[in-house]
Amino acid sequence: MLHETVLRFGPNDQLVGVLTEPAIDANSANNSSKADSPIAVFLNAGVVHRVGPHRMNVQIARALADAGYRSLRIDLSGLGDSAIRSDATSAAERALLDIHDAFDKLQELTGVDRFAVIGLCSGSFHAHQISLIDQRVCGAVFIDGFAFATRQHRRRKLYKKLSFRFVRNAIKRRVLKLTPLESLASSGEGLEQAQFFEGYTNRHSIAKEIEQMVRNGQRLHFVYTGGHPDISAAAQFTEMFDLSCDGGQIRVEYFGDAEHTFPLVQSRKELSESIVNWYQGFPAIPVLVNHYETVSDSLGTGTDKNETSENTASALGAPCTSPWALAPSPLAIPQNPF
Amino acid sequence: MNVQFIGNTEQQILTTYHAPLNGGLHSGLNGGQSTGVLIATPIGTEYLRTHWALRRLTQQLTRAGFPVLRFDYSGVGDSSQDFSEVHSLVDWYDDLRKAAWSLQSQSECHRIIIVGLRLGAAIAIGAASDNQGVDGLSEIIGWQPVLDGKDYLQSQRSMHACMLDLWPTPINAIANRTHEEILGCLYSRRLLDEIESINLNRGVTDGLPKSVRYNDVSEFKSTHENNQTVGPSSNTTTRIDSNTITNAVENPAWDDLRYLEIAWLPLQEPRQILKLIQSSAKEAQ
Repeated sequence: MLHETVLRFGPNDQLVGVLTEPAIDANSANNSSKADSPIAVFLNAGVVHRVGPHRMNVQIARALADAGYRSLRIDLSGLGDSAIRSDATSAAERALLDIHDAFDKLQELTGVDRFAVIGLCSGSFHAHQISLIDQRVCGAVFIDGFAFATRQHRRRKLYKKLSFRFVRNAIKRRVLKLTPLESLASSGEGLEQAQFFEGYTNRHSIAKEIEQMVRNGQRLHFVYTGGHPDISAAAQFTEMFDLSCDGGQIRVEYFGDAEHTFPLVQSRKELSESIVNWYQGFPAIPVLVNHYETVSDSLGTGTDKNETSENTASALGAPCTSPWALAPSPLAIPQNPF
Repeated sequence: MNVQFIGNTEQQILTTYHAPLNGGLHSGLNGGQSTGVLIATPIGTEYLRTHWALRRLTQQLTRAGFPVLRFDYSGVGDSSQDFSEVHSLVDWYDDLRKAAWSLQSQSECHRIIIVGLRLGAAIAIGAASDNQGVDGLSEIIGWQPVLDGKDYLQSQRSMHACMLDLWPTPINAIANRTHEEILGCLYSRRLLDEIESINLNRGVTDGLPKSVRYNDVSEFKSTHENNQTVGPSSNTTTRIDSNTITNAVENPAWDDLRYLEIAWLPLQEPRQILKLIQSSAKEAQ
């Protein structure tokens, strides 16, 4: 059993998130050893509210809870159930303030000061940005984040275009009138990354930023799908950024059979397993307390009120120091009615 | 706005209550003639596509003074359970009843209008029709309602098959004795059977003790004036309009695979739903 509770945070508590926590077994050392593990924070993908495309955030959050980890899935201001904040000038600035506020709230409630951000598409973009500026981020999962077409990618793509299935699908799309919608961001093929990430078009600058994250001790998990038009193999990561993925701090996985928003049950299951597996690689932090309470307890909605409430902050919790990009956008906005 | 889980931990559902603005014109403060609005959402990809549209409708309703409650069914959104664990529409009827109770207890409204979007309309009618009913329910407004479960599933399956057919590599989705995957949701066979049996075109609403209106958006005025009375009912009239025909600008394209992940942001329809609710609240007074 897991606990899920609503968490309000940000200015006037106008931002909304759902906190998922593992069930607490006071007799289980396993549980308490994970009390100081980083808390995962899920970011919105496009305009999809906090549950994520095809409810993927909920599924991953519950899988993490089953493995003993806490997570918060949030609505950035103006999305889902969160109100628009007025203390920021741009959408990008708002998003970073929102995430910062979520960290503050979690830290205040749990004492934990390490967080892992998880984002798909635009969520990945925000995860990248917050990882650079907030010392509390000790890990990040970038799903279909920054990618740049390389010469090898173009070659692989050409082979793909010469395949029978590609040609067959192209003809079928035309016959069935299922060609991509012109006016929407649903077709990544025709979009330039610069349209979304002005100033982020240089892969060398992205590589430098990733290097900085590695130097800061952050663990990074890059996940790419077959739905991303600018990447076609895990090996492309090294081609793009000239960084090695030795399976240590940087992990790269390519889900060639998955689409950008993971619309198939099996691909979501594989993604979830991959993230839980990666999460288990966070170094164990010595436990300072024997008991910890769930946030739902501290909010007064938990079930076990007899647990001792103690600060779970870790002495060794040393601060470590997308994009919609290219792929079809999850729930693209056809028009803004507001 | 009050976002909270209700129910026991294993079967909790997420509810979002919006208190009326403007002094609560139609709230419990209004001489016992209070009207609250309960939103019954679609499921699956339609649930995600319509989240903003329903939030927009909610904003308009609260500005007009109505208390509104939105909720997620079990296995949907933030509520507990996996979609594959929902084995019957009855589970969702129960969720809707819990949500209606929550709306009444938070707003003190005496009268509930349910706005059911797509399958939400069928779920609302199902909940109102079964033995337990929905306390305080006075009217159901079907918004682009699913009238025929068989057609609905056929459309969903057709898009699903097309999606798999056009997948870059040959791929299979789950289909076994107990479950079938359709557009990212793993349906239990029993649930599919029940959805398939939905047919609101054939007078299934006969005997339903509440008024049911299906809005026709593009022909709103004419159909609203020409409601047909279908079947005998005990106390009130069950009115069935023609199924919704949307105009091109606000086309939700429910059966077009290209729109599967495109948010539907209708401008006109929420206003028309609001007008329906306002006129209904006025009639009640």
